[in-house]
Amino acid sequence: MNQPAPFRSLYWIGWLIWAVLAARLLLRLPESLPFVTWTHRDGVIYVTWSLIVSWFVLFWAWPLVLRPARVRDCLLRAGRGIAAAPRMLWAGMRRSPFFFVSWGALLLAWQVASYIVPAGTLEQPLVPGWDYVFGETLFGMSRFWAIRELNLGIAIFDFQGLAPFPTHGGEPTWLAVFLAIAYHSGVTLLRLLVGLVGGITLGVLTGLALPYWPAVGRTAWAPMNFLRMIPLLVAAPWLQFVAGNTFSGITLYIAFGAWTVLVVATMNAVANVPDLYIEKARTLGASRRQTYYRVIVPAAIPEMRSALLLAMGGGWSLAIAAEFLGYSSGLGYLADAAVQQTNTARLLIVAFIVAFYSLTTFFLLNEGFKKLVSWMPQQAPGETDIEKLAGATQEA
Amino acid sequence: MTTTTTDVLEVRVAARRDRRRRQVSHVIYLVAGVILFLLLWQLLAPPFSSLFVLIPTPIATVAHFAENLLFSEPMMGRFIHACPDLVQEVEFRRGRMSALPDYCFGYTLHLLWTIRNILMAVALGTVIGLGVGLGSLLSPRIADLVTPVAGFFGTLPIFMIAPFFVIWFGIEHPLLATVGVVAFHTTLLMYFFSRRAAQNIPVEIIESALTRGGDRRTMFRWVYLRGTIPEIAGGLRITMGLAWGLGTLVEVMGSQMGGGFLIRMWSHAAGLSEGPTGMISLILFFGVLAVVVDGILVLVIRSFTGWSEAGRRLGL
Repeated sequence: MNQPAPFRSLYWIGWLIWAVLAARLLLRLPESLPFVTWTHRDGVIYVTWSLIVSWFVLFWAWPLVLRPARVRDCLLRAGRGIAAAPRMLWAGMRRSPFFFVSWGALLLAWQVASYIVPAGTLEQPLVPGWDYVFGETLFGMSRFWAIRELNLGIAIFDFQGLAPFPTHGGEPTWLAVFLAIAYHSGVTLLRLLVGLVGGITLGVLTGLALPYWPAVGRTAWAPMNFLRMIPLLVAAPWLQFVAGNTFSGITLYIAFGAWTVLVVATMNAVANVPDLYIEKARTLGASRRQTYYRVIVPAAIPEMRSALLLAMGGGWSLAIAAEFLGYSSGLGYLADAAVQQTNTARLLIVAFIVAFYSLTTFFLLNEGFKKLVSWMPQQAPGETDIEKLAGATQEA
Repeated sequence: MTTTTTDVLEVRVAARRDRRRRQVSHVIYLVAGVILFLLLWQLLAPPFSSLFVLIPTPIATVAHFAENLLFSEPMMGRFIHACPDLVQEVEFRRGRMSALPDYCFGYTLHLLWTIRNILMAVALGTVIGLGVGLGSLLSPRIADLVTPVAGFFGTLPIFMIAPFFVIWFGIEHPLLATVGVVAFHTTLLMYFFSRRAAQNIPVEIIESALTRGGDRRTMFRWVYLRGTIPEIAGGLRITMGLAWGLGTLVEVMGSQMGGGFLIRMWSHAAGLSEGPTGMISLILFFGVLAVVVDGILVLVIRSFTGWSEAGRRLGL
């Protein structure tokens, strides 16, 4: 059932509010209850697994109560997907055997190289085997679980109850590994998200505003193109000096990178809107402003897919580079720590984590963009299937 | 029969006049944009503002670059030079760093080192990437094997590859670290650009060539190889633009030579007035260099892709 747009927005905004309310509700529960192991005294919240699990349950209660049919459908789809996974995997192997062959060969070659390449004088192997990477090294990442407290302004969160801290004499545990990866991933993703949302929004708005006045657009063209050409990756040391190693500093850096890409791309997209659209709108009596906002802007959006993906890729690089060069948290920091100790194995783990997030964010952005331009008539793909053609030329 | 009173020659003259006028106005807007940009930058960091310490003015930036290009007093003061081969002989003979020629203490050798390495790496990566990419058109099995792995590395942030090369080569062979990272990245991009360029060749052209008796070899030589050039050339521009930042960043991470190393050196002196000016002047140098090299690439590419629509539109 399709609900009106304001109603749908209310649902999502309500869920966000509920997420905060649920946490406050849990903190007000009496400590005498059996599952209440957390405390909230003098503005310090002593976080326990019980609190996290309870909040998680309450968080998902919102869609479960308000949209039970949709949740049921989602769960059924997910269940069917999991059940069909082995079959799909087998079908994929039969359809594209070389995908699995090339990955298998690469992983095997790495393992063989780990036996052949001399150990050298370093403490860690230059080419570590997979057993070493996902065994000892991954377990050793528990030492990065060292966040005792987190001050979020509204309250101080004390995490000492979640897992022991190996850096403070505690036992290394797999739980600490999970928490370390989750914490540093969360920090990077938050920085990236805020930076990208700010940069993309500003970039699109600037890119749409400038061409509205042709003289302004043409004057801004050269400086904007120059800014786009500046290698921002090496500007990280200067940024740290200007903005410090702060959250606002890194988000500003990412936002600036996304902004430079989006401004020029949006101006290009506006310039590429066919004249025919504009002429038709003007013939039908649309004013200059109406033509711009109702015809040019919507027609320009579909062309910005590549620019958005490019901004996302650039944002990832800027985030990791900035963290690498001077921050004490985030995935870039983990990579920096690995380089400092010449630990290739740990670097591999960080690379796999970054690759996973990167692929996921690209996929989500692409899918979101497809939804955004779903009003556009879809064209049949006009690509040449090289394989078929190669076959044809073989026959010819 | 329809007749017209308009003289055809008049129309052509008017069109030429109009084109010339557009070109002149384009140049005027370009110059005005650059001047306004510099003016805005100058106003953003006036000497009485607190931003003055953080953001050097364009005049100060250019002056710093010019002063340190051939010989840099601060670099000599920090015993930072670009002549590792000469220093052993000089120290052996006289035991004094100051005995090195002046040019060893300037930016020039560092910047030339970076430019050489990056150009070399891009050339190497382009040859490998195009070789594999175009080779995969002849033999689809190559694409089957390479694309899954290349796709994975293609979605990784470009910076993520650099630390591996720094660990493996950074200490003993810093040159290999820079060249390796840039060449690896260029190979990936050029592989994808060549594949995409081939996919974008209109089916009609392929069918037409097949109808005229094209075989595997001639199709590759006259259709794929020629047809992909304009798009591959566009890809090379993007790759080159990214290479400047990536190559310099590898030097920031651990090299003792090059433009990136100079940026790192100035970042350690960020508290001094020269620090930010030095960093900005070097970052801008690479920006200007990227624009100039891109302009040269456009001119070169245009000269041999003018036969295609994509080639004619290039750089506009």
